[in-house]
Amino acid sequence: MRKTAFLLWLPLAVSVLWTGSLIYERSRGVLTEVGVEGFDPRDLLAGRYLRIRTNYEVECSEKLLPAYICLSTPRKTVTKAPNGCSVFVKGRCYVKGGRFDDGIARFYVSEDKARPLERALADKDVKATLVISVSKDGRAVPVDLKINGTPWKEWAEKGKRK
Amino acid sequence: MASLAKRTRQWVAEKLITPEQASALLEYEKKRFSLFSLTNVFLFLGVFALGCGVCALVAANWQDIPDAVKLGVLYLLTAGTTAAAERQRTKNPAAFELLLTCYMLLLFAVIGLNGQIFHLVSDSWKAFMFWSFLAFPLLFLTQKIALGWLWSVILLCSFAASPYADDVVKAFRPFGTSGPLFFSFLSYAVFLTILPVRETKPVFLRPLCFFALVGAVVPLVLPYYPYHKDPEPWTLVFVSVYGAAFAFGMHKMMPFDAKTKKLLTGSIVLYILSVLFFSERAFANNAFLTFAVQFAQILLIVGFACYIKERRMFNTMAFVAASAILFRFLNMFETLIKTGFGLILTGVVLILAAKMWIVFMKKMSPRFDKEDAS
Repeated sequence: MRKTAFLLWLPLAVSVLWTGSLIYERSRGVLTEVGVEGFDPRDLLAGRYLRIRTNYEVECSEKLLPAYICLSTPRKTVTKAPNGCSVFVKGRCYVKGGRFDDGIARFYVSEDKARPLERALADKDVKATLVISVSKDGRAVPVDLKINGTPWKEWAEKGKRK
Repeated sequence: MASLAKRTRQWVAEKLITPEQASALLEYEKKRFSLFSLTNVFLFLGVFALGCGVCALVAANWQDIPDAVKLGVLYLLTAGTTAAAERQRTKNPAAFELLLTCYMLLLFAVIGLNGQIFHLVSDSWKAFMFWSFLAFPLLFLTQKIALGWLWSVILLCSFAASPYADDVVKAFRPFGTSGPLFFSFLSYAVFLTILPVRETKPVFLRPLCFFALVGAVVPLVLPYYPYHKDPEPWTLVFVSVYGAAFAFGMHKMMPFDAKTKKLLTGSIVLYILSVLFFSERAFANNAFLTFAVQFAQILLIVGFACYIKERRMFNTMAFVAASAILFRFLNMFETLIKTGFGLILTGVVLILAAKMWIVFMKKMSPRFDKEDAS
């Protein structure tokens, strides 16, 4: 009976721990904003999302796996976690002169708001930024999307009222 | 019920059953719980409409529901299902299986919702592989082999879509043209190891056994000759040593009779020789020799199925062997088949093959029937 209970509750316990670790990771990180651009496909498991690309306004100096950038200016990619930098992001540089890839690629939004957001991200006059939570070891996770400085939910509500 | 009454009257008229037995049958059927009664249909429709309504309501307000509430409700639902399953395990095995299936589906939902709320970057294979990992303990509790099949298929598909599959392919590259054949040999070894113990944990050993056999058979029906690549010399030594060790282990440890072990030794020797021969460009480029070796190996597996009296495996492998011959025939007489004479010949060959199969199976059936009866 004990074995049954263990086997039954184990998957749920692992799932809860996983969610806990995601919450912890997001809450413990330093919040910062980076520029963002993107487009919108569909996902098999989690509904509609915006495929986004963060823009750290830095080019890869060479192929670096992993690569690090310090978020204080001037930004440049380095091979090791930079000393004396309070917030740095860990990512990958696949080619020299290429984009710094921090691993963020998706931002989930509701179906009815995905299209206006997609159009906004494609508009050059709109400034889209992503609020990210950066952990001590440089991992970045998305927290919120801002359109011209307004969180996307508020921005979408305003658009509806208009 | 009306159709049963009609049928029982027919059976009575044909003197298959007595009138007493017919009325007893009708009484029994009347008392039995029927899933498809009119009230149950309405009940089902009611529950279905209620479920759809709740889903529609949640979906319409999805974005306005706070993330914590979404996660909380889903985890409560999952915990409720788990607790209910724990209660029903001994009381109602059917309900337990149903709840276990729901639990597995809810684990999918948990992964999806976490991905959505935390904007996780993930390929679909990762989500499915994580699900396989989460659902694995539940396979020790279920009696439904269907769940084992579902789990195995999802794990294999997610593995095939993952970068790890590329690593496996890379690992076989030093074997050159013999790579797929060595993969077949390894899969056959896994199959033979699992086969005698598969009923101890049928839920995941039966699917695993099946997929190991598929892994063994697929390379045996592939045409190799246009893609020759020289193997690295150490691989030939490795295959020979591995084959000898496996033959030794099979003789010492596997619970087959002496005749079957002899046949398996033949199969192992043929595998080793084929891998060695396939390393030679002249041999591997010869389509007929390649086919002959592969076909001989398929026949040895058919023979093995016959020796251990596994009717289904025998039928499947015989079908594979027949298909291999048929494709070979179509390949050889490709242009001829476009003519009337070619079509007649094809027809005659197919009819003869079917007739021979019927005669052969008539001779073979008692062998399997003895096993079924025992």
